[in-house]
Amino acid sequence: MQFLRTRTAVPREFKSREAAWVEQVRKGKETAMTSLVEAHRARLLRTASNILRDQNEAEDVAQEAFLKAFRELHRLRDDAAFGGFVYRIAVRLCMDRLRSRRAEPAEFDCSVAGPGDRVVNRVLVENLLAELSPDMRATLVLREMEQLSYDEIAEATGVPVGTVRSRLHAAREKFRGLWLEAQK
Amino acid sequence: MSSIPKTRPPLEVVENDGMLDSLSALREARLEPAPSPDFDLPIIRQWRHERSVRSPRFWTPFVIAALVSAALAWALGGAAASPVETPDLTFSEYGSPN
Repeated sequence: MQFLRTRTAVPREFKSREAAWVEQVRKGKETAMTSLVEAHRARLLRTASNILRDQNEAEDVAQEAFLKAFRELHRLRDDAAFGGFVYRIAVRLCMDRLRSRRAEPAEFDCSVAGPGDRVVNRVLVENLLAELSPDMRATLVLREMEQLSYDEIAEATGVPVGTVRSRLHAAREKFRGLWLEAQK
Repeated sequence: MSSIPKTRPPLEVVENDGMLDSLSALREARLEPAPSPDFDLPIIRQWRHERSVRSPRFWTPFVIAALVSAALAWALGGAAASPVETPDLTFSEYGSPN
């Protein structure tokens, strides 16, 4: 089933355009920098929002990720891989933010969690996600919301694929338990 | 004529353990935020600042100012001052404390 969930490959023309932009950014071209930001900001912002569940914080993280990527451009071996490079930085910044957040017990009103109510479901999910560890939470979101493959999650989070599998299994189980508890 | 059996095997009863429901609830809560109109501005501003700090044009006035002040200090007597003679208090001169 894994092949069904893998995202479509990035077109080669885009890759070569991206490589050209990176080359121009190295030379100091501001327009190329803004092109790279425009090309990737929506995806970064969406992923950060889903992991952090806070749009303001997600925007901060996305902006920080771009700046860090431009500062560390010398580390990028393949200019056409800028998208993956900045995405990886953003995911790790999100995980750092989750780790630095104060652990607060989730408080949710089980009685309002009726089926079909999207807003209530969203609040409930946010509270349940807050109960997971940063690693489990990020892995679960990247798989279930962002639809990344195991390999892509491993690359983004910087852990082996086996660790992704075990984290995902544990995260799903914990999330299921919390969800069932909230339905009672 | 057809090899399809007329009676189907009984369906396996799978207990609904909440996994599917919980995961579909999770997927339903997916956010798709649009970037704010001025999303790029802080990045551009910071990038410009960092580039200007790295460029020689930024540092040249500071370097010139430091050189000029050093030259002035030397010209106004820094070089003319005689060195202060300090007594030689080596261990051997005064002997051992024991």
